[in-house]
Amino acid sequence: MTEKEYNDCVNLYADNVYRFILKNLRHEEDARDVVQTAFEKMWRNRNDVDSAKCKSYLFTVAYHQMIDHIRKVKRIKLEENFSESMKTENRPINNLKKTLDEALARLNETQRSLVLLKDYEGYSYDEIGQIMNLNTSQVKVYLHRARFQLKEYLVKMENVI
Amino acid sequence: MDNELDSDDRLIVEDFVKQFPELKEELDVLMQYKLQPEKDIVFANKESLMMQLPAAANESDMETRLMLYLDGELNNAEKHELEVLLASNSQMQKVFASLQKTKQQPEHISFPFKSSLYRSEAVTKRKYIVWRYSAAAILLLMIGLSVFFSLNNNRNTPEDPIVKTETKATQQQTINTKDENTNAALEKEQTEIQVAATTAKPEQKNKLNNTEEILPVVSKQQNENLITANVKQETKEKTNSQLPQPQQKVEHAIAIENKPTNNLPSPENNSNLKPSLQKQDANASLMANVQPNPETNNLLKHNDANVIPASLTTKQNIVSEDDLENGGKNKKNRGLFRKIVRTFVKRTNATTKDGEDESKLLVGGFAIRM
Repeated sequence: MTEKEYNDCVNLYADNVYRFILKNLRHEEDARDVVQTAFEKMWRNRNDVDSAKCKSYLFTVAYHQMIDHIRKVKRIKLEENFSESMKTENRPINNLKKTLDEALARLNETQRSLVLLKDYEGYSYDEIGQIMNLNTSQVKVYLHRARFQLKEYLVKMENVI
Repeated sequence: MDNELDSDDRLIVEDFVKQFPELKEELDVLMQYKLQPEKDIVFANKESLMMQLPAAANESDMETRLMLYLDGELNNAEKHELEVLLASNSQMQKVFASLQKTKQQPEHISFPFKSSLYRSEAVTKRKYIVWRYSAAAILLLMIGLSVFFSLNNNRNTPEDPIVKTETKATQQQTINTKDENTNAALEKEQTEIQVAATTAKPEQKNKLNNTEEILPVVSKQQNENLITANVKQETKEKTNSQLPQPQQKVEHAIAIENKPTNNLPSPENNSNLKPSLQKQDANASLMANVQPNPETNNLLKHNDANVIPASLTTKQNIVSEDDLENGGKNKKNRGLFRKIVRTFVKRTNATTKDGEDESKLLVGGFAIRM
């Protein structure tokens, strides 16, 4: 990867990686640090990185960096059970986007990353598996569980309203 | 009988049985023992055993297929089949609509510090170069400072043997120049001594030996000069005031080296200015070399304070004081420099000598006197 290819990669994918990490961490400074670390690592290893695969390389590095960060900081709590902490007070009724964000925030980081990589970035199951170090069957099962949980949350919210 | 033979083996067996009719009867007997299935035995309540897949499982399978369709993971045939099924099944359409709502819509979030991510290889290389040069500069500075301080310490020692011998040699020369006006024949010999003294400077290892060789010659010449100078003492004092300026400076150096008593004029009968016992002994040995001349005895006494002690103190300072007091520091420094030279030569195989002068070490354009 040349210097120009690296800087093009910054222009093309810095926003995507930042969005992916920010949606997961929900903390701007931490997300910024993770993105900078990922790009730093790619710059150091630019001789080994194929420019055609720089996006997946960036997402892979950023994802693992994010997991390490989560384990260190423990800022995000894993919430497997949706029904326990559901609150409906003062909730905007027709704001599907916000409700969906809340539902997304209730997923664990693996499920959330799966959904985001699939819906935001359009990666295939194989590519997601490579990024997250999972096999295709695991990606399929985990992603379907995540969608079921999201659907369940949305259906319950509609019923409450 | 058990129908385990293939067709060829079966034909072989049948031919064999035909050739031996008694065996055919035995085979028929065996065939009678083969059991035949009874078709009239049936299970009466077969419907009770029938199983039906649960509706939830079908629904789950349908949702899974819908999610695969939503994620674009179905191939064209599966996609077409599902689309046909979806168009005809209202229940399936509801499930698909609810699943579509879970699909995240990408939102535009820009990274605010994108400029901090840009990199330039030139800047990186420049940083490496700056670091290398700065490290090299610091290293050279440290080496230079250490060499400077070590040399400075040698200079600041109270009586450096090298400087001392040089000054003593010049003292002898100036003493001889005093006699130039009285004895012109000795000028050539004095210049030879000067040349010998100046050429002795770069020869550092043999410096002490050279000075020791020079000094007896000088002292003998002084004695001869003193004998001849007795005749024209008055004219010598006058001509001393007419000497050129550098010689006057050298005389001042002599006064410093010969202690405060030498700064004073040398009266003939001043008992306070008697030399020490060692000097007297040395004077006695020198006087033994001089032919006893009653006319010149007084003048010799007059010149003892200025001339003879200077040559004696030169030897004494070189041998006793410098070696004993400052010899340790010099030896340490020399040993340090020798170690540096050895490691430098081993590592680089470079020439560390300044031409033919083995007493100098070439290190980055600096010559260090060993």
